[in-house]
Amino acid sequence: MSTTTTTTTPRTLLSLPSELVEQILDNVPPSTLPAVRQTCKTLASLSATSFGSKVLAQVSVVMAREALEGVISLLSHEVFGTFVQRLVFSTARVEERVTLLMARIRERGFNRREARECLEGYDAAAVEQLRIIQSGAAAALLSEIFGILQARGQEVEIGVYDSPGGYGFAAAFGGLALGVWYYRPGSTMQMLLAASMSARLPPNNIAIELEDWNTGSNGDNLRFAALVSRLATAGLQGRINGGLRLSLVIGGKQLVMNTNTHSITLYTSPSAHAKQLFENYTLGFLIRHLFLPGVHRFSLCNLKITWDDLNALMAIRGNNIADLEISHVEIIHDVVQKPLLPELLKQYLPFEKVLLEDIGCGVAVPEMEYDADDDADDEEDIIAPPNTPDQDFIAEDPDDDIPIPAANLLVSGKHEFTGRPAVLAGLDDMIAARVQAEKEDDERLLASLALQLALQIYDAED
Amino acid sequence: MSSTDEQKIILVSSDGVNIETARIIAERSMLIKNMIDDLGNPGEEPIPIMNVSEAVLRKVLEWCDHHKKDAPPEKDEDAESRKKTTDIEEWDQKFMQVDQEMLFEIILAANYMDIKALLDVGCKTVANMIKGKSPEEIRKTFNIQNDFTPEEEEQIRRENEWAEDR
Repeated sequence: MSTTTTTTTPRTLLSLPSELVEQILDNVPPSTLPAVRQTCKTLASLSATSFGSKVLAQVSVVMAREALEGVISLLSHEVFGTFVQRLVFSTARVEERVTLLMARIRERGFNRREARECLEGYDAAAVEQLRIIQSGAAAALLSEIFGILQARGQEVEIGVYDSPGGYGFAAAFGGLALGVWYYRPGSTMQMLLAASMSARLPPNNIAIELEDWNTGSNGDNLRFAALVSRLATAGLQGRINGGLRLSLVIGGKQLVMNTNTHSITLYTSPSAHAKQLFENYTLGFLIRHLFLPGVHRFSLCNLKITWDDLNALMAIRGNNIADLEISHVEIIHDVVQKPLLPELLKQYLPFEKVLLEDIGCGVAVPEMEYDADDDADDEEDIIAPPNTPDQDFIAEDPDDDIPIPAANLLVSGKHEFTGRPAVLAGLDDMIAARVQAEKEDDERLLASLALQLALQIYDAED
Repeated sequence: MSSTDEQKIILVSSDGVNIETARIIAERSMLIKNMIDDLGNPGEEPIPIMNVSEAVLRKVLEWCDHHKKDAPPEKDEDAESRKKTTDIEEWDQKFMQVDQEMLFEIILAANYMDIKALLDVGCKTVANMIKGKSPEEIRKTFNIQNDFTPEEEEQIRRENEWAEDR
């Protein structure tokens, strides 16, 4: 019996139809694909899609010049650049090694020569990495990266890898995606924000979601709040196409801002006291920094509030908020009697009506003088993050700084009067105390300053 | 309808050999299944398998026989689910221990006869032969000539750097 085949030449891998070779290569593990590309032209060409979609979909990059330049060359490639879906940035080297190194230099009180030797001998790559960050070169390269992505309209998820926090990808940032579980000081995250903002095309449609964001020092929290506040200002002034959506979960409470609707909503746990809320420094900073001109509605949900709390809240808010909506609120009251409520609220809502329907004391409040200078300087004490270039695109425009007067206070939902006393420490005093504490405690800031000094020594001797 | 399962049909290989097999086995091939559905009267007329030689067809039918009880492939969604498993079951691994030429013939036959699971096993087997090898080892394994110019080779090497952890 004949067993001849109809094929005239022996079957080889390369004699298979292209689509079958591609199907085979699709099963090759990503780690071997670079080797496949190096075998011959045919396999290089047929493995391009697998290489792009599996190997280049997620690119890890440290803050070093050659790594960032590599990303730029990749993104500039008209075929392979489009495969990138995730960029994962890391500053692990800087944060771990150099911080340790500087601690050592400080502890031992090294002189210049010793400091230089120490730096050279320890980890030149880490020092180089830090230098490129501190010089602003990293930020410039990041700007270029974001510029390429934005020019192409390519949506890339941006993540930060920091030990021990790990990855976090949560949301979209300016048509790019950006999210972190941890906001880490000093940091990649901050640089990414800054670089995105200073990219050639301003980012649009920004969404930031941070989960359980509460790991930095208070100084870092304050700086981050300032950064977010600047973004929010840009959003409220209509300078971010598509607006800014912000969701921060802090200690189980969620702060949501949407500049498209000019609204801020704070969801707290049903039992949370306003006092606790304001004493949560992270949240306190943020609330303070987000009471901005252009916010028309501020909603508080599930909150226990005292008259003192209300006082404090109104004091922070200034005269910017048109609507204040408090839902499911438990008003704790032991001093001001119910009939005095409208009188109290008049102080904060000078010339518009107050609605307190559920408490049964809705009253029209007569017009009062409006003092435009009140709290006008509240948002000025922003501390610029270190090593962050100024972002012109969200520069303050004094003309925009006209507060929108309060219009309505809407209180709805559940109201209970209890006899509990309420004491709220002055929020300003509290923040001032924290800023002072930060100055004393922030080792990281010290390390950073010390490192800058050490690098100057290093540079001078070069 | 167990009678349908036990029905015999005759396939004709590209080199003109008649091979009798059970309909249930042959219908692992969507090509054959569709032909039977279209033609009706299964078993009455031999079905020509134009592009597959006797040796390869027997090998393919051996696989179909072993897998005749497998759940029939679903229309579209299996493309994704198949990719997730990189393992090849033991029987299939042994089945695929053939020379390269036969391996590629099986892949071609599976593609032609539309037997997705077999095509998948074939592709994974070849992929496993590539896995972990250097460019030179891959060339040697599959008798491939390096046809790059030094410039092209350098270009590929630079592009491969994108894949490295930085």
